[in-house]
Amino acid sequence: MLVVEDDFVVAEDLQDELEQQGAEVLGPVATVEAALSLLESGPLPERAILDVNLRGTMVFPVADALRGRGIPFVFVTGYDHAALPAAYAGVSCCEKPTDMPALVRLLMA
Amino acid sequence: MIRPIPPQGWPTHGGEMGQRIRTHDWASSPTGALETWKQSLRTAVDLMLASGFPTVLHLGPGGTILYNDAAIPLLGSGHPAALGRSIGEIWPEARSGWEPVLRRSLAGETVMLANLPHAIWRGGRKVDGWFTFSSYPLRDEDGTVAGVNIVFIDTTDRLAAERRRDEVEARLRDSEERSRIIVETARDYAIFSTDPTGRIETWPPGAEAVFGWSAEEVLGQPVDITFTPADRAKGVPDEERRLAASRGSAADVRWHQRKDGTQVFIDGVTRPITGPDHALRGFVKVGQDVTDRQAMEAALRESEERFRQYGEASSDVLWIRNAETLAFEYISPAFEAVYGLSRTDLLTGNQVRRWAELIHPGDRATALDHLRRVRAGGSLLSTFRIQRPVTGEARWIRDTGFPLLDAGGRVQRVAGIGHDATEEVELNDRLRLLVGELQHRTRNLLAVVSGLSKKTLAGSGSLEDFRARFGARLDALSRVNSLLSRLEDGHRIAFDELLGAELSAHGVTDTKTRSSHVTLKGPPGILLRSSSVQTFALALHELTTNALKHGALSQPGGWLEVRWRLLDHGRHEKRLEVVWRETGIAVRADNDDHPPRRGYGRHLIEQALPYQLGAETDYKLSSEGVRCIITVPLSSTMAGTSGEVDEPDG
Repeated sequence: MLVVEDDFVVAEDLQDELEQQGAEVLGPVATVEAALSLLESGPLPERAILDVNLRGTMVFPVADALRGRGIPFVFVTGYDHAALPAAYAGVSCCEKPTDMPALVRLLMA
Repeated sequence: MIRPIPPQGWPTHGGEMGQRIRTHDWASSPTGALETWKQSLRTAVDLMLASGFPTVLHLGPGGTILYNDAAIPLLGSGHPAALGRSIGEIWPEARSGWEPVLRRSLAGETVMLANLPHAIWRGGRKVDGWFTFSSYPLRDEDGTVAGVNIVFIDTTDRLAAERRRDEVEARLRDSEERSRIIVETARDYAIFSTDPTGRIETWPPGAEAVFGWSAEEVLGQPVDITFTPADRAKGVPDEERRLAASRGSAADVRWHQRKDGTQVFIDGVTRPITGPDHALRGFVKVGQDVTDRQAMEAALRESEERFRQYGEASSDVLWIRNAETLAFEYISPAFEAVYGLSRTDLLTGNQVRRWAELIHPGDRATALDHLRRVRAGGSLLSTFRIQRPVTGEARWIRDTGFPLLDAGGRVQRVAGIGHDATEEVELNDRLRLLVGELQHRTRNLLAVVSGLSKKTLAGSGSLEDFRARFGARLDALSRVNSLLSRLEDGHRIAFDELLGAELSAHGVTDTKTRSSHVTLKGPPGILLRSSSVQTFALALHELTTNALKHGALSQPGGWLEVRWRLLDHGRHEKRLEVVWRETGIAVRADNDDHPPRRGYGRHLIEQALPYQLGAETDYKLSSEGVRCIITVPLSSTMAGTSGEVDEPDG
């Protein structure tokens, strides 16, 4: 499970929760570059959780790379779902603060 | 003894008719031969022949006719055959007229008939004539009525003259009547006359209606009473009469005074009346009460003035276009300030194109379409950008357009109010961004709080322990968020501010406190990325609470020194290096026997700062105390307090 989240506290919290659910966490990483290089070097994750806005940089290149590899992912964002570009309208989205059971359900779906 | 008169002898006079009577063959007529005529008849014939009035003798009982020269024109073509015939023969058409008269006179009555029509021949032409005649009995010596004497007086000319006079008089009366009716029925008009000195001589109902005085009240009064006191004092009435007398007319267009003291606006004229000798006989004043019209015109002027003031004072562009041509009928001066173009330039040439050229090409089609829709009867708000021609500056215009309808409900004009909404649009954009940011920060903060609470709970030995530590961490978060919220748009927090806020919250300053020494040294104003501030603050909080609990600030003789400086890192990047050093206390240093204590503070410094800030950290617990070095990348344009646009973080 790849976690891309730039806030350390939130990223660590996600990691703890996912590990408690028995998932193995890849990352977490805070930047688009770090996420892409993880995908390049492998092993590939089965799923991914992407924070939309990483210190002003949009996570979409990572989303596109995941799509290219057929890896499902969900967005986590502090913005409204409506603020997402139309190209990602079909992507599941969790608003912060994250409702963990809901996020897990989304990921496992 | 009566001496017979020879037939050729009598009548001795009498012109043509005397001659004819003398030579007529009377012997075969009912009158008998001339010689047999009685003296009374002869006298009557002599008188008839001598008369200048047309005279006809009707001799009974056969009705034989005799007439004099003056009567010849009355007989026309009947002359001379009429002599010796009967009236019935010569004027058969008038038998019904003559017979009663003759009968009455034969019965002894004198009959007078005035102005009867009777044809008359003049110069061979038959014309209408008028005659007054008297018919009276002719008696012989014993008083017996022997015939009738009829005297004609030609009244044709007199009658014609009388008729002409009557006609003239009738026309005059007619004309006077018409004038009188006009003068008396024109209630909005005061038409009256005065004598040469201005005393009122006539005062018809119209004057009463306009001025309020009755005729009884004003006849003989000076016309001056109809003038306002101010005009009287200025001598206006005298001046008016003087002008009218010398020029033939004087305008009288001014406010006048009514009986009840109110004023009436008169639009009129004063003219002199002169007699045949050109002497001044008085004045006629004709004036219309135009108070209502005056008031209406004043109201109209007032309304126009009000609209003009409104339009000129407005900072919005008020405009009115002709619905057909879309040419401007009005555009307020604010246009020049808003569009940056003079109205003269706008109104030159094709006005629609001229206006459209000012509009941003991307908005032009929409703005023109909106204008057409307003012309079709719609009301709508149109928002578009314009570019000021000289400066090139772009402005947002909000134009509320609406149709102006004529009485038939057709769009006669289109109008609107154009508002320079640039500030509002920009503010609105900024607010929308800020609301989004605020929402994002709040949600992120809650996620951080949630994560912190779990971490704190995991590291707490008791609920009391959790309460104290979690409370302190929440306070630290509150402080940094309060610093962030106080920032002006686009500004950033400096490191010294962040440090100062954290330390002073714990009562720690760089003077002696709790018998400890604190030294803070470094340049002020080194700006941090806003995205890094919160985590940085938490790290500083953990360092501070650790120092207060276990370190330099927990014991007398302890010493805290925080030094920071700016480092160049590569060509473009600057870094902030912070050295946190605690000395003067006895602690257990990290060594093989005592592996490093892994508190949350240390965790944040060693994990969170590198993860989130890209920082390099070096945390060591020596025998003297904590020594921590943090090197944080700043944005490439770190310096100064300039309003650099801050990046959101997510």
